[in-house]
Parts: sequence; C-alpha cells; structure tokens
Amino acid sequence: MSSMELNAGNQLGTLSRKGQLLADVLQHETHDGIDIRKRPRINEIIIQNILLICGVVSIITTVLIVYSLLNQALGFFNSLAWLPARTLTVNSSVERIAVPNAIDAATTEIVLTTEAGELVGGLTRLPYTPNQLIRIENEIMLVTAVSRQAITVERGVEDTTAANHKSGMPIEVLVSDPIRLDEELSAADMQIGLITAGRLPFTAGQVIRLHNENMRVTEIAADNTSITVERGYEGTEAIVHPIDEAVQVSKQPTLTEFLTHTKWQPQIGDFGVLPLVYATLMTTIIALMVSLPLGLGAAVYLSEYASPRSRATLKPILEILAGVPTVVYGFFAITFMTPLLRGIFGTDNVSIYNMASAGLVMGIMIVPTISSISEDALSAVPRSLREASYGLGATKLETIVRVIIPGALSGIIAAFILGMSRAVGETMIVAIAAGAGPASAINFLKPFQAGETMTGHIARISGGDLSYGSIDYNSIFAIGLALFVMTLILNLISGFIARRFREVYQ
Amino acid sequence: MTSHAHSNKAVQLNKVSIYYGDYRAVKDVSLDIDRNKITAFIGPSGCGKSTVLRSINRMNDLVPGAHVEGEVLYRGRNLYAPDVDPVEVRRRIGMVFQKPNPFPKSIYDNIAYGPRLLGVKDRKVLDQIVELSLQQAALWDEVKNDLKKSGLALSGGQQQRLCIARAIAVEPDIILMDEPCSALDPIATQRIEELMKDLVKSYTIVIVTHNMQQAVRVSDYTAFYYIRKQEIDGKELRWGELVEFGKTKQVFDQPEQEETSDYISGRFG
Amino acid sequence: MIEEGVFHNNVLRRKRLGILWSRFYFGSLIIAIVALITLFLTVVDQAFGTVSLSFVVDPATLTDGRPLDQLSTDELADILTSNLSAGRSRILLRDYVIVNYNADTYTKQPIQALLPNHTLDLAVGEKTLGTLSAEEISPILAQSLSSDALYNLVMIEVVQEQVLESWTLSKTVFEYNQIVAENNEEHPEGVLQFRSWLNARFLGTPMASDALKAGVRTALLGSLWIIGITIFFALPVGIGAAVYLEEYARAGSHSRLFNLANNLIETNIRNLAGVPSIIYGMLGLFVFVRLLGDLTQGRTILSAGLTMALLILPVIIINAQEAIRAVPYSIREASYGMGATRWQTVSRQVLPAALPGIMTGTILGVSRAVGETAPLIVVGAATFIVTDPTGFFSQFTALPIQVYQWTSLPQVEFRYVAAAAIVVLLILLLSLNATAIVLRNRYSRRLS
Repeated sequence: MSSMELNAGNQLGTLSRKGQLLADVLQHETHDGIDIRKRPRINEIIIQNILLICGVVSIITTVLIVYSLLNQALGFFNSLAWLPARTLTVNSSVERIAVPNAIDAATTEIVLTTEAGELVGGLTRLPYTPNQLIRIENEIMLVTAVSRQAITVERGVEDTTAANHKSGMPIEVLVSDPIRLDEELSAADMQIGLITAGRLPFTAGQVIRLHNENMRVTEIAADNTSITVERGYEGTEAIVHPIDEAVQVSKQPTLTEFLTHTKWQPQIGDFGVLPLVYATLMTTIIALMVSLPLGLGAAVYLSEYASPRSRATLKPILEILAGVPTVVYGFFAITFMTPLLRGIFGTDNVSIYNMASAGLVMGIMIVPTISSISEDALSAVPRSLREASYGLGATKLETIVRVIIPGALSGIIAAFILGMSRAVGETMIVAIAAGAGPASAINFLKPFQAGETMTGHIARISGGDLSYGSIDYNSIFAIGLALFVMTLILNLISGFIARRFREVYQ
Repeated sequence: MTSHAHSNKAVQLNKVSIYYGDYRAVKDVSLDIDRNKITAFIGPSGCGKSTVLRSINRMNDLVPGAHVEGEVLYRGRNLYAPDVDPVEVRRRIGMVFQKPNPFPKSIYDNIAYGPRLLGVKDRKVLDQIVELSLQQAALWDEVKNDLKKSGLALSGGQQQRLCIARAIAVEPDIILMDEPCSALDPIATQRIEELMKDLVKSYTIVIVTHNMQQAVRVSDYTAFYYIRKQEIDGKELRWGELVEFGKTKQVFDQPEQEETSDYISGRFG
Repeated sequence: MIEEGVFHNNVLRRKRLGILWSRFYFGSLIIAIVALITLFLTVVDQAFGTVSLSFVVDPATLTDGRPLDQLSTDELADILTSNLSAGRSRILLRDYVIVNYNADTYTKQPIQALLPNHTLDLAVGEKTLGTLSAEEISPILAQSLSSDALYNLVMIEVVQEQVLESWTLSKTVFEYNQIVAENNEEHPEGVLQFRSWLNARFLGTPMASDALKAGVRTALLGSLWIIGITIFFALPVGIGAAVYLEEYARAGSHSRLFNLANNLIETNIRNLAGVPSIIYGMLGLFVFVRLLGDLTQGRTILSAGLTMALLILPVIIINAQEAIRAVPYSIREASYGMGATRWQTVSRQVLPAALPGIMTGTILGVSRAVGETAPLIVVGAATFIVTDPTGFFSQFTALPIQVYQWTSLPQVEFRYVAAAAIVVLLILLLSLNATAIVLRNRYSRRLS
C-alpha cells in the first residue's frame, strides 16, 4: 500500500483523516455506494475444508482399526493349521484296569486302590506314564502325573467331553500313531501306501498334505493300507517324499472353538483363546483388588480431608504415577515385586514369572485413574447434601460413607470400569513379569504361576519374526479383535454411567 | 441504486421481528435512526432492546437458530437480503459491549487489529491510526507512553475506552453500544458519556441503557421497549415490543403512551 | 429421649471409628506415594553399584597414567593397532569402518574405493586391505570412529574386560564388607570397582551383546526421530480437528445431519482415547507396514512415527478442545463485532489465546508417545541394531523398547543397563513435563 501524503488542512470529501488512511485498502468503498455483497472468501472455504478433513481423520482411524482387525481376523478363521494325521487305537498290551470308585465329571485325580489299600488288580505299579492318553467309556483323558496309587488327568481331551463314570468301568490306554508312508513316494504316483495301527481317518475329497505338497484324497482302499490321491493340489508342486514321512491333515479355527477351547497353540491346531482371557482376567482382578481401595481411599482423602494446600501438592504427585511409562512398571514388577513375593511366600510357591506380581504392579499404575475420576465425582456432590448430613449430627465419616459416596456412586463405578478397561488393555507389565505360561486354562486360579494374557501374547508373537499371512500373524488380529471388543464395551458402559451421573445434579 | 450517503437516516427498521428458533423474542419494531445523532433504547430487563440492537449489525447470526423477519435498511440496502455478507456489515457498523472485552494483547495491537484485518500492513499508517483512534477515545494521553502494555492491565473505564478506540479504528458509520457503562463506576461513566457527545460528531451512535438518567443526559432520540405477555394453550408467551419512539425531550416530558410515563416515573420496571 | 451417658459413648465410638477410617484414607494415598518412591528407588538402586572385573590386559598398562576414556582418538587407535595382530586390525577396519562391502571383491579393491568418503594419502589409498600395515590402519580408524567407539573396541579387543559379578547400589552402600568377602572367596582375581551404569559413554554407544559395552545411543536417537515424525503429523491434524469441532461445528446453525456427523466425530475421538495402545500397533502393522508398505518401506521409522501419531491424536484433540473452550467468548464476540471472518477470529485471537493450553496438551501427548512400547513392538522394532538412524526409512528402535529387551535378557547385568536406560527415559520425560509447566505458567501470566 502506498504511503499517503497527509495534508492536515485538506478536506477530502467527507472522509476523515483516518478514513483517508484506510481508503487505499477499502477498495470497494466509494463515497456514495458501498458494497456489502457477499464475496467469495476462498481462503475461508479452503481452510474450513482442511479443518473438516482433520476432524475426519479420527473417523478414518476408527474405521481402519475395525477394518484391519476384522479383515485379518477373518483371515485367521480362514487359515489352516496342518497337524499330523493320527489314529487313536487301544494299546492291547496294557492290562485294562477297572475303576474302583465312581468318578464325576470334574475329578482330576483317579485313585486306583481297593478298599484294603492295595492297588487294583493286584498290580505292584500303575502301568501309566504322563502324557499318555487313556479312555474311560467315551471320554478320553490325558495323564498328567502318576503317583503310587493314583493318576492325575486332564479331562475331556481330543474333542471328547468330561462325563461321570460308574465304578467298574475299564481304563483303556490309547496309542496315538501318526500315519506314515510305507515306502518312498515318487512325484507321479497316485496311490500311496500307508502304515497305520487303526482305520485310516480320511474321507474322499479331503485335502491332505505331505511336507510342502497338498493332495486330494479320491479313494480309500478297503483294506486300510493305501489311498488314491490327486497330486500337486491347490497350486503346490508334486515332489518326492521319503519313507516314513507323516501325513498331515488340516484344521481350521472356528469361532466356537476360539471362544470355548481351553488351549492356545495355533501351530498345532489348538485355537482356544480362553487361557489368554483367563490370564487377562486374573491379572485384572488382582489389579482392581489393589487399585480400587487405594484409589477410592486416596480420592476420599483428597476430596474430603485434605486442605487445599496439601491437595495442591499431593495430587500432582499422584499424577506422576500415571505418567510413568508402563515398561518401567514392568521392570519394577520383575526386579522388586517378584523377589518380594518370593521372599514372603517362598520361592517354591511363587514362580519367577507370575501373574500376581504383574497384577499388583498394574494395580498401582491404575490408582491415579480411579482416584482422579472418583475425586471429581466426590467433589461434585453438592455442599447442601453435606450440610444436611452434618446438620443432623452425623460425623464426618458417616457423612462420607452414607451420603457422599452414594451420591458419587455412578462416577465411582465409571472410574472402576475405566480402570478395568485399562488393566485389560495393558501390555508391558504383563509381557515382562507375567511370563508365557502353558497356554492352557489350568493356571487361572493360581496367581503365583505364570500366565500369558491376551496382550502379552500379542507382544510375544510380534517380537519374533512374523511372516505375513502365517497363522500366527492372523491369530494376533483375532485376539486383538476380542481385546478391542472387550475394552470398547467397558469404555462405553463407563461413559454411559458417567453421563447418567452428570444429569442427576442438574 | 440511488445514493443514500447523504440521507439523514442511518438505519431504518421496518416491522422487524426477531426469532430464536420458533420463539419470537421481539415483534414488529419499526423506527429510524438518524445520522450523527445518539439514539437510546430503554426498557426493563428482557424487553428485547439488546436483541434489536444486535440485529442492526447482524450479531444475532452468531446464535444458532436466530432469524429475522422484516427489513433492516442501511443506506437503502436490506441488511438481511440473502446476498449480503454479515462480515462486511460489521465492518461498517461497530459494536461496544457491556463488559469491556479488550483482546489479551497490547493496547497497540488491540487497536491495530481492525485495520490489519482490512489489510493495512504499513507500520507508519498503523501508528497514525492508533494515535488518532486513541485521541478520539480520550485515552491517548493516559497510555501514549506505553502502548505495549497489555490491554487487560488497564482499569475498567480505560478498558472500555480502549474498546471504543478499537471500534472506531476502522472508521465505521455507526457505533452500537450495548449498556457500555453498566460495569463501570460513576466517574468512568461520566467520561464515556462526554466521549459519546464528542464521537457523535463523526459517527452515528445507538446505545442500549437501563439507566434512564443516562438516556436523558446523552441521547437525542429515545426508543422505549416493553414486555408483552399472552397466554396461549395454558403456556405464557412473552416478547418485546417497541412502545414509543421519539425525540428524547418529548418522550420523557410528554410521553404519548401511558406505559411510557409509568415506566419513566418509576411506577414499574 | 436418649440417656445422656449412652449418647455420649455412642458419639465417642462413632468419632473413634471416624478417626480410624480417616487414617485409612490418608494411608491409601501414602501407600500409593510410597509405591512410587519405591519404584524410583528400585530403578536407581540398579543403575549404580559395584562390579567385579577381570582383565586380560590391565588398562592401566596401556596408558601413561591418564584414564583410558580420556585419550584422544589417535591415541586409542594406536593402542588398538599396536596391541593386536595386523590381521585383526584389518578385520576391525573392515567390520566397523567399511561396513558395506562386496564379499567377493573387496579383498582386491583399493582402500580408497572401499571408503569413498574418506580422505586418504594417495599411497595408502591405492593399497588393498590385505597389504595395509598397522601404522596405516591406525589413522583411518582414528578418523572414522568416535572416541566412545574406539574406547569400546580397546576394552573388547585388548583389555578383554569381563564382569565376574555385580551388586546393586543398596548392597554397595550398606553391605560393602559382604561384597568384599564374597569377591575374595569366589573371584579372587576380580578387581572391585564402583560402577555407574549410567554415564556419558552410555549415551553415546549403541547397543551391544555385552552389558558392559551397551549403550542407548541408537535407542535414544530412534526415539527422537520417531517423536519428530509423530509431532509433525499429530500436531497440525490434532489442532485442526479441535479447531473444527469447537469453532466450526459448534457455532452457527446446521442441518441435523451435520450435527449428527459432528457428534459422531466427537464420540469417536473419546472412544479412540480409550483403545489399548497395542491395538494401535496392530493398526500400524496393517496399514503402514503392509498396506502402504511401498510408501513407508515397511518396518521403518516412518511407520513407527505415523502409528504413534494416530495413538496420541485423540489426546491432543481433547486437550486442544479444552484449551480452545477456555478462551472467553467475549473475545470472539469482540472480533466478530469488528467484521472479522471466522478464520481470522480463530487464527488471530482464539488460537493465540489458547496456545499455552494447547502446548501443554501436546507435551502431555508427546510424553505418552515417548513412553509407549507395545505399539512399537507390534509394528516391528528391530531387535538388534547398531547403526544410527539415517533417514525416515531406517529400521528403528526406541528407548522403551531397549528397556524391554534388556529387561527380558537373562544376564543380571542387563538389568542394570536397563535401569540406566530407564533413568535416561525418566529424565527425558521429566524435562518434557517441566517444559510444559514452565511454558504454561509463562503464557497464562500474559493472558491475565
């Protein structure tokens, strides 16, 4: 803009001196007509749209999260694990022992002595070994331990269900045999000779696999010694297979199995997420047992007892707890909490990686979450309610317990549920301190043993080398989907309760 | 388009009704604002005088659901025509608010804000505009030594004069003042009233006030608004209406309406 | 009418109960604070301590009395080459300086060709690797490697320092005699030395398989690179979204569909804030590493930074929203009243006034990003990486990942370096948060 020469005494129409200064810029301005029409403010429109896009990014994020989890989880349910095909046959060389007493469906220890205290059947030793499969009636069980007089078993394995058994039922020992090639197989041969102890468990049309080659079964010989196949099926290459190579069958995870089976080992076909969920629940429960009383207590103190000055100093200190990275908590768990627990309860009872250690430290980490939301809820209870209570002669404690806490109850519950959600989603503390326990559900009620949570499992699998499309890669998305759904539900419930609470005092 | 630049009517309201959603807040206001005169809107709380004031510079647009029926003519143009840009309107019709609201910036930047919006970049020009505006607002001598001081560091009365200086920095046609003195002490109020009498030589002023004595002291014209009530279907509707409008002397000494004389004499309101 | 005595006792009992419970409430707070202090003490306890060292060659014999870590690069390189065989020196040159070479041809190429960015004597440069003498190798080493790296090489190759046993700080302070006794009994040849696992060299050295030599250099640089990308993407988008939601979506009347969409965006952001961080990692794995793999080159710093940006975006948006909401409406009113457009009002008045709050929120978000481990694990942090990141497409590691990896190793010495790394991490976070508080105080003073 050009600088204007100002002549103080010059009257420029009806414009004042200031008006002169501005006149250059007010291009639409004339003395008479003025233009107040709408003009295209392109900048405004562009900027508004850019900002809208920024806001939409968050929606895109959610969409992508849901899509990626669903998509890859779907891949999981479409993927296959290859397991050696096996037949289970009765080992007739082992003597069948009759169960002396009736067993219900839950017992895991089977005592095999007569009333006189001697072993049944006049044996000197029980003929069983751990990891053996036995069968009573229609139920197959896995022997986990053998003592002088009894065996401990895992009930209902190999897709059978645990049931009650009357006394006198015989125990059969099963042998699980992989099915092997009886001789070297060339790349062109369509008929395959197999060695097996029992019936061949194949059906026509089934896809089997030998090493890296898939084949489709077309016919099963009546004498159970060979099958006819289509070679090089599904894009695999027909190759030579050496003698004794085991035949593999595929297994696909199903949603029911995912949600109900009690073992998680996708590589060998166990697709039950329950052990991980149980471990997550165990650590979460321990964490809440710590954080709820501590968090609520701290909240009550800060909101009802503390002077404004002490609140101003103590509250930020509590917030520091929330700012410490979770990996540091994990370090704390394994270098301090675990030795502490082992010292208190004995090194035999507490294993080096255990869920209690992780749970306790997680509880400490969650205290600020519960405490700050609860404190807001407590402070929001109107003065009038407190004064009414004091006016009736109640002590401070009684007012707190009978008036204030109930008045803040929804907020406290919301805090509790939010804390639960955080505990469920927490990864590093459990990854470092809770360990990778056996992926079965047995350890649920044993907090001093190791247990792998959903998050810990994802972290462990991701830490290794994940090949795209492998069943491990897809499985973490299936677990992630379950995790996402769980935390989403918890967050929504918490938000709903909090909102209901906010309306009460309006 | 005929030229209205020299007509002596700054703004004309023709049967203006203002709605917030379905609720009618003000009904059928018609009056003319004369150029270079001070017009006062008086009336009890809730009678709609501020609402009418804000309709003149389309500040009601900021409230979701607000819309206006009737015409607000400015230089012959209806401000509520669909092709009118509220931003342009507000550049020509400025506003001073009830509670002084200087920006959290320096005094200089407060006043330079408007010109900068218009595109003025030259520092020397801005300097002059700032000085001129502060002089017109009778604040220059008090702050000329420290224009970098924060606007919030001034006293209440000074802040309001700052806001006035800020409003006139862009040379508006009309200055709307919404109870500008209600948050100030009597001395500051007096200074602003003196200032208004000075400013009106260059600008048209419309002021809303709940203080009748102030209206008598400063205004040339007065518009008296009152609340109307009606019961329909068991619900009570209220809205504001213009009761009387005329030269101040006439409205206060010889009001035409009984309600006017009742209000002025303090019998109610 | 209640009997006076009964009533009095009753009140006393209730009061006693009250005092008891008030102690419990106070106690809860104290327990939490004590836990925090214990945590810090545990970390510090492991970051310092005593070690029992054995040497093959006593470092004191290598120098003229000055400590080894104060020698210049030339001196260190000389020690290296004069104490090792020529063949070994050549291997060091190959593995630590040349690094990238063609295994089939490198023995025949002149040195200058293998080291195009180095300035070498013409005579030396023409020679092949196998013909270089120790005196010729020494200056090249001195020129190419930092004194930290050379020190480590001397310690590994010449001194061959080994940790026989180690003890924590608390043991050192309270039970030193026991340490001496233990050492004499089990490691008579071991030299006891106080050790701060956190030292200047620790910051400058990349990770190593030996705890004594390991450092956080790559992890620290990785964290800084990742944070840079995170801020670059998350800050503008986050502030933009907050501005949109507060200034554009809320103001003015809109169609019902529009309002619905805006509510959806807001609810969505609050839900995203509660999603576990590991899920963001999986999102990053699917979108940035796989789907956009061509753009990001897979498991790179870029992917990691983008993932973290999405992670902290909700935090930044929510904080910025609050900061913007805190700006009094009167300021906007004054600005609109003067004929400013919406963007002019936002950019010239609202945002500057909301700046301190926005900055605080950003720093909180960044603090979170610095400390997060789980998403980086899933996206694919490198497990062993010793080269500094060179660009957006380098492999990455980060401070918390380093802590995680070291904590998971069996050797107890790695617990100590993990603790030292935690101290570095905490100092970083502390400075970030302190900056936030200082900035907020300074700017809010200006506003009032």
